[in-house]
Amino acid sequence: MNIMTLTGVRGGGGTTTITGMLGDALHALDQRVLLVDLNASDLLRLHFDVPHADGHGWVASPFPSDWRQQAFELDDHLTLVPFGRKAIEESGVSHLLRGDDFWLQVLPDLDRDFDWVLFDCPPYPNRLAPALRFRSTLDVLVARPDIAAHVLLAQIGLEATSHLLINDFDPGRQLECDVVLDWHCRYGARVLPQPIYRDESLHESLAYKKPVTRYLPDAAASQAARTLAQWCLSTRSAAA
Amino acid sequence: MRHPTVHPLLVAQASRGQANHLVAARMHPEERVSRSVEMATQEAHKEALARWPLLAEIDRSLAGKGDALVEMDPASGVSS
Repeated sequence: MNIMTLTGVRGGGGTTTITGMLGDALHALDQRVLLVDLNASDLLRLHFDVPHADGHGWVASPFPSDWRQQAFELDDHLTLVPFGRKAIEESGVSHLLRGDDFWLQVLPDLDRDFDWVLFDCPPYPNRLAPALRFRSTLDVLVARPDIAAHVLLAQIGLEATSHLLINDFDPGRQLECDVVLDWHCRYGARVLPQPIYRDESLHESLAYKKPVTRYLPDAAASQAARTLAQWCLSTRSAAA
Repeated sequence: MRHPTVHPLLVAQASRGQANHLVAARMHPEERVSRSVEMATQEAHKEALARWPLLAEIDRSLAGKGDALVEMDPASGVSS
């Protein structure tokens, strides 16, 4: 089983959107995929038409062993566990907000059912999942190529085993090209080979409550998701 | 440094001198290309740093912490 942790260098960088479309692209390659939302904003569910007001989510689960009662079978071998913001609002439960503790206990139970578990982690500076990152087979930081993200990335430091995924890249803008060039010079092969270019269909797909890979399969972002999914498979098979 | 490979059959069929010639023919143009890609990249990076003061400041800051830029792979022309 492969564990992928995806984290934004900052909030609003598109990490949740990428988690959804990458998970769907891996599923399209006959992989058994579990998507887990660790963000209190609880937005990943909206990419798969799980109602905003629905109360299910892993924080509503009294014990880690009960996580399946909070899961949604989106498709054969494609499962989503939302965060469960509603449960916190209604009951005031907050003792389970440490997603890494909860899911570390669940991980041994996932091995036989899933090829990939994708964790949509809270962005810096509130990143909460160091233990999960330690266990992950692919740790991915997501960043838009703007100067603020560049400064934050320099502060955070890209660890030797982590990868950088460039999102929302507009190659027509000089500054973005220069930031991307700097990242390639600085981080080398740790920059994922496929950036995600600026694409309005990504925003539209959320409004349509689908990952872009289902909303517009021929969109540039969908093709990028499929390329990234292939890269994930080839990287893991090379490492195995 | 990685060297471009030559198919073993070609090497086996050629005399030693011919094999060396094959290796040289394969290797030298690629080395020239990868070097020019590396130089162009470094030049573009310098220009980018000159264009944006904050980009240059962060570069100096990271260099001060010993966070060096990666070296290009001369065989592939991409950074490793």
